[in-house]
Amino acid sequence: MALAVSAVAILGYWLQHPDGIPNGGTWLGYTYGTVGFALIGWLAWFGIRRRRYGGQGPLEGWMSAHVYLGLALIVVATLHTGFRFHWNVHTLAFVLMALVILSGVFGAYVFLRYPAQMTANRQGATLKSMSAELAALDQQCRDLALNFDDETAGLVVKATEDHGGKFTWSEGLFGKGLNPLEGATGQAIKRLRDEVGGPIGGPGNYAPAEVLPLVQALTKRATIIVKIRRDWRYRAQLLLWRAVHVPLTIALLVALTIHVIAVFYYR
Amino acid sequence: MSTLFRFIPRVGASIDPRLDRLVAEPEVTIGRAHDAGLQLKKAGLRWNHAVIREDGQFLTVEALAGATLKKDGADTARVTLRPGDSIRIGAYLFALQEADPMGLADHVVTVTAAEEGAFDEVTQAKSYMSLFDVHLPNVRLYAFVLSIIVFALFFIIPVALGPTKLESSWTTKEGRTEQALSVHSNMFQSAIAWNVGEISSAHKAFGTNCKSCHESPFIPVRSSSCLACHSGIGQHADPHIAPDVDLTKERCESCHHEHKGTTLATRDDQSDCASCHRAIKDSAPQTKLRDVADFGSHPEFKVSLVQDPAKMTFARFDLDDKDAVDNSHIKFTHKTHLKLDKVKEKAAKAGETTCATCHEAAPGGMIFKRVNYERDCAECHLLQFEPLHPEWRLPHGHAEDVANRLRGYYSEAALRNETFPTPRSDIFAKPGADLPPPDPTGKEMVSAQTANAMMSSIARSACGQCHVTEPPAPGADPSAWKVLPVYVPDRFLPKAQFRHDKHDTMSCQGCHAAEASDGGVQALIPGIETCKGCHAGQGGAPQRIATRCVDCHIFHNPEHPVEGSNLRAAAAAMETGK
Amino acid sequence: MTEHYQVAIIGSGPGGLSAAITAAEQGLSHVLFERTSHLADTIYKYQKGKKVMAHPMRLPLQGSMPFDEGFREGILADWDTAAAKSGANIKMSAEVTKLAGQRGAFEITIGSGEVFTADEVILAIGLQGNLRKVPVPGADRPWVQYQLDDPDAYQNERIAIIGAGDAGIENAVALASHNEVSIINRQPDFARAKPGNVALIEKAIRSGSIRAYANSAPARIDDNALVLDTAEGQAIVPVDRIIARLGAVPPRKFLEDAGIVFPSKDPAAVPELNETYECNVPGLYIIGALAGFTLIKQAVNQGHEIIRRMAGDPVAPADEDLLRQRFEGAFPGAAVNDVLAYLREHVPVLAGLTMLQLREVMLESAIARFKKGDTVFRRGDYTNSLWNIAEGSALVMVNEARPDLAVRIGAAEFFGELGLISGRRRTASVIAGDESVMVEIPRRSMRRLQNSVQAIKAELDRVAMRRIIHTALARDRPISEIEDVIAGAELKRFKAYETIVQEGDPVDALYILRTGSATVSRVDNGREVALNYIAAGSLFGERGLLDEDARRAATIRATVASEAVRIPAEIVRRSMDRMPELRDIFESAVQKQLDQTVHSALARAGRPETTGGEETAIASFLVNQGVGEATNAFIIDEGLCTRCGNCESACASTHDGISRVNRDAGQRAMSVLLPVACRHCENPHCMSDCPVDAITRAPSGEVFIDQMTCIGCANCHNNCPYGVISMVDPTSGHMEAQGWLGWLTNAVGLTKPTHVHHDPNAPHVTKAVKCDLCKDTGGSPACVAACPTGAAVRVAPESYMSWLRDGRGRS
Repeated sequence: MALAVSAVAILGYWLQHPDGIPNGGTWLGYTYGTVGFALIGWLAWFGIRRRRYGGQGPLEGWMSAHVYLGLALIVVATLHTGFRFHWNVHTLAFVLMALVILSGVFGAYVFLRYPAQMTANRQGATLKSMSAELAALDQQCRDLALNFDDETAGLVVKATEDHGGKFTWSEGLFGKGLNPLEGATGQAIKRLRDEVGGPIGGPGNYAPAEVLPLVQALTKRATIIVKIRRDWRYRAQLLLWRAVHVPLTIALLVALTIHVIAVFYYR
Repeated sequence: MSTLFRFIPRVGASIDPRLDRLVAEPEVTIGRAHDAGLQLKKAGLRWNHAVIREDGQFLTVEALAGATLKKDGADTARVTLRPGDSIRIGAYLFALQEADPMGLADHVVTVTAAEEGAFDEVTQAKSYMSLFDVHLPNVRLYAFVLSIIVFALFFIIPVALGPTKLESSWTTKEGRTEQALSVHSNMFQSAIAWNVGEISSAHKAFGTNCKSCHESPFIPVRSSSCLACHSGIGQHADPHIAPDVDLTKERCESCHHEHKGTTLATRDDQSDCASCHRAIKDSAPQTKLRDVADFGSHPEFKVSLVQDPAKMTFARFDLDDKDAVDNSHIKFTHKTHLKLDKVKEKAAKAGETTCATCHEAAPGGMIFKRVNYERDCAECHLLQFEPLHPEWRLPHGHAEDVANRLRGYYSEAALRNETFPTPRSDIFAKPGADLPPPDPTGKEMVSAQTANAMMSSIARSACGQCHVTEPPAPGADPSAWKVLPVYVPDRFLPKAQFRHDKHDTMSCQGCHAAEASDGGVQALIPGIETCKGCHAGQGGAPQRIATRCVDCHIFHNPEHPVEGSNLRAAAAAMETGK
Repeated sequence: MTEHYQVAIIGSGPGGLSAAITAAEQGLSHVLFERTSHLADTIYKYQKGKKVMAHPMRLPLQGSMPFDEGFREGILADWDTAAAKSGANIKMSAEVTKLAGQRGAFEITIGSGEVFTADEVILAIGLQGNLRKVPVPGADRPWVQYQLDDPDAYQNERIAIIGAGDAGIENAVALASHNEVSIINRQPDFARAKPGNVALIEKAIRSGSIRAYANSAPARIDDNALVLDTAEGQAIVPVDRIIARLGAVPPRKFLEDAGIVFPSKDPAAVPELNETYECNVPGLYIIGALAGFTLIKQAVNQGHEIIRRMAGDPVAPADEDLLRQRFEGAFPGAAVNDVLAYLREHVPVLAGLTMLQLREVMLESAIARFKKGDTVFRRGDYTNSLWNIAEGSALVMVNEARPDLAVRIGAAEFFGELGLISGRRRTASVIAGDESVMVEIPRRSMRRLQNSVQAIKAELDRVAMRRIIHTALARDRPISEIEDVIAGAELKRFKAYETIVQEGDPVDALYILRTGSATVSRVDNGREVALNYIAAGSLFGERGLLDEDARRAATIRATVASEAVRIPAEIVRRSMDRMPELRDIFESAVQKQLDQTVHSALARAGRPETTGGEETAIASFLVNQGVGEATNAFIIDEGLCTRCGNCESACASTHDGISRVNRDAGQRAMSVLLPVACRHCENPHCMSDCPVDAITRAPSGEVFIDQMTCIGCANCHNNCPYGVISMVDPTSGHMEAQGWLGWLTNAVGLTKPTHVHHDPNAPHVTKAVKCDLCKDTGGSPACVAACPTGAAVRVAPESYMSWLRDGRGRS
């Protein structure tokens, strides 16, 4: 379907030269224009269709149609321009459309790739359960810390308060590599390993057996944090692209309308 | 001493006997340390936090290094507890009771949770969730703002901005003030917002005033807008021949596209021409034109030949038409001339082609200057008439001048008493006839000789060689000979716009078979086959130049001005153009 | 001289009060004794602000005593004024201690020692007056209480709940959030309670928020401590408060002293009454809860009726009109009593009932006349009522293709018991054999009957078994030919996950699954691979039945509590010679199973990335999640799910903005998410006790709740083991704007999401909402339709396997 559309479009463009200078003004151009306009309308309608429930059959079909026709649109619209761009609302509309489609392509990629990865990363846990687990571990760490001298305990408590900080969008996109064992957690573990659990004479000098559970708990919570951050990143990406796709679409619709008005106003 | 610590697990709850702790030491350290007298593993307590000592029937509580105690909300380091007093240590409230009635211990201290939940380990999973929430930025808001911006920038502003006025006017020599154009424009709208493309340099002037061409909204640009300036353009079809074909109805826009860059885009495919000319009779029944759809199928050319130089009438003949009539009234053959050594020498001397000795390209490069006696012929054609007196020449002008010149010459001769053998009419007369009367003034002789010379030179030697002459009417002055007026058009294929300069890479002979031409102009004009040697139709062909109608033919034919067309006037204007 | 009255009424509850008021109106000399200092103590003790329902709505209210749906306070106030207005003679704080005598000569002694006499006595004391007390020393302490008005009134206390019935559990759970709660249970488990409550309490115990002492009984109560006798000996529970919820029972002693006879020793048993509510003691009438009528309206009407009859102008029972309407179709113009008599005589199931019971049943049942050949119900319908033939006969089309083999069921017999028992689709169509009258008794009433009248249950089971075997094995023969098989067969019950057939065991029997469901699995090079799913009504264990020393090729486990008919192998083999077609049945079955296995093998070969291991893991996960008893479960493949939440918003916006799907609360295994959403069980737990029949199953299978009739009692909510029914205010939903303009504008607050019901000051009511498979929107379920990636599916258990193998991984 979509392939057919673009194929026909290209073919038409290649065969037909109704006029020396290709542009939207020729009958062929108008054809492209109309088709493109219709396509954009239909594609944008998907946004509403998505929220119209019941009745029109499974959304899945619409979805794939949305993707493929969206790709076809690039061809049609580009041919409509006849490769002539200027600083005007007409080109603006085209650029907006291109951006919308690009973001859409990214979205499609994300949709295909991440759900599986996300599921794999979660390993059956939910964000709720993970953060609950984290909270539990933090508590566990704090409790275990009670068995240690003030300095160690202090370090551990500090470590349990470090959750890698608030998440930012840029992070959501590019995912800052987070080493589970740096920062407070690292220090705490280091102290536990090297001094407290270390040779006799270390403050309190505990048997490794006593230190081990705390170290394990600390490491575990650190790894969970990484998991959560990764999960967060997936979710961010699954959502974020729409923050580009949708507003641009609306803008596109406006620009498109103006384009059409302008073109027909000044014929 | 011995101290009984009784715990109240939660605010408002009662003492839980199962939690009682009896410490029988003089000094009780409180803290998380294993060896603390009262070990309490609670956050907020230090390893060794405080120590409780007996002090009479009271207790003193003393904070240990780095720890603090709170008494009535104030930090203290050391406190003496009287019965009923209480002090806060970490998360606990230690209260010294009246001596234990049961006498289990010297002192009874109740330990209460200082605040809600101090005893229970509830994990705050919820508080974490917020940390990990993903909030999609307010997509709709963006959408809203963005679309508003676009709308404002590209609709509101263009529409709302009042047009800016720019004028250009000047004063003529006569002091009149002329106004070329007064343009109302909206720079933003036209320059950026809505302008679909660059305007041709020709129209840049009112580039920013859309209205000057797009007069009324939603109606395609009217030709009238164009014609307002372009009034002089020729009409395509001859109104006399095809009165019914009125191409002024045709929209300029259908061939000319604006906003396509600095040069006005002109439609260059020939499908439109073909649409009529494929079957021209349909649109112009009386026309003599033949059907043509493409250069490939272009019929053989026709030449326009002079029929009456005086009346300036032409007729068109096929190139190979045997009985074509050419009344240009000149006797000339390239064949003979190109053979002449003098011509060759001259060409050689000047380092030019033999043609160039006579033919000089006219400015514009389309046609050549007219061949001119003084410049091109006089060198050889001296117009002498008396071998004895070669210095005497006839003028290249009207017949009367010639006659006067002759009369003058013979009169002089008469004064010199030269006698000329009388033309003998009776040379074979019988003997015994009368002799003519003697001519003492020689008057008779002059007129006779003049008439005689006129006849010989005009009819034959001088003028007649190239010109068509006419003897005097019988009975009239015998010297009243006529030289018929000459007209040689400088374009024989007037309907096409052949440009010689565009072809100057080729030799003249390549197209014009001059050596072979002995009179008859058709021979000289190349046929379409010659063109086809290099040119092919719009479709093009291997080693051929793709050629469209408009490459040779102008659409707006200046012969048919749009307003009141007058063929003859137009033609004259064209032909006499020097 | 003792005061004498025509009628003495004991108890000022709805029944008693309405009797007294009517008596006053009728000018009967009467007296009403009320134990407490206020009217209607039971309702008086309701939680404050409790909403009181007035169902069954269709039952009209008789007499002048006002009563309508409303709040505790309002109703009590109405009654006080009504009582005052009528001038009824009411003696407050007069507890009747002794009742003796009979018609014309009753003696009533009250606490103060005064004695009254009356011709007739109406006993309307209900049950709440007689709460079970904790029978141990110290039970009289002030902080030992027997009801809980407001759970939030108690904070940070150590509270012990005695009694693990529904009331006890509900209190315990309610209190647990702010208090340290222990629950004392005489039983090892919470079998007595509703499944919903069981789930609640067990969860609470697991999470540690409630401490449970099983197999324990209170020994004594000390200061701040409850001493228990447990299996391990005595235990001391420190407590600040004790709440005992031991239920209420008829004051047996008092009643038996009055000469009333009870049918059984069961303390909960109800004295037998005739249709005028008169018990075995002449002149002594028993109404209301004590007589087993738990609804307020019923009591009010009964009180009224009795007095009117005494006063000599009897009124027809309140349900008379309703019954007449019910009978109108089948018996135009007939008197209700005649019809009832007719039914008693022609419908054995109803024969054993008292007139009152009969009336109650008939209120919910339907009588229909069929012409010869009319269809009663179709094969595959999801109806589960029991049909009784009063006259005429019915034909069961055991084999649609061969009408000649239809089994004829004659008058006084019943059919449809399979649907009633298994809750699955009708296994065969039934048409009227000739001009006949049939009574359709809905599942709910049937269950009530079965419990009260043991004989009915037994009969049902017997017939059901005969027919199951017949349809499964010899549908093409008269049932008489397989009597021996039926004789040899037995009904076996299996707990969830219990193994029915063990791989490798000798093939000793053939099974027909009657209720529940089971999975077939096989150990395949060390890994257990789920092969197949068996739905109720199907035959299994037939493989290898033909040869003597065959071994079981696979293990079959019950996925939920199930019942199966077991037929010993040798009996089958014996009858095999007589009935060669059995061989075909088995062989075709075997064939089917082989295909199954092959298919799965191929499918797996096709998709190497899914190991059988994963499949089995997911399959068993689904089974453990109880999907086994589902007919249509919502599953999401998280390998495809983009977490867009469209399924939920789709559900919400197709159901007044309230989603019936909850993914977060769902369970996961591998990449399969089983969201919390209704699975439309074969045997819906939720439908087990809906007081108003608001929750029903459509013939096409959807279990849905009628919002109009729902009274928000939350029974279904508590009974659903999967927590798919939520109690919400149906008007609380918000609808997402759908048009793009609205969508845009309400982003910047120009417009608001529309509130479903615009009346902001409509009373706040909570009702039960659940998935209805979008049956009203036409198309497929919105949740599935709205999934952009096809990750969300709704599948029937029969197709889980194939879904696991082939359905997933599309993208």
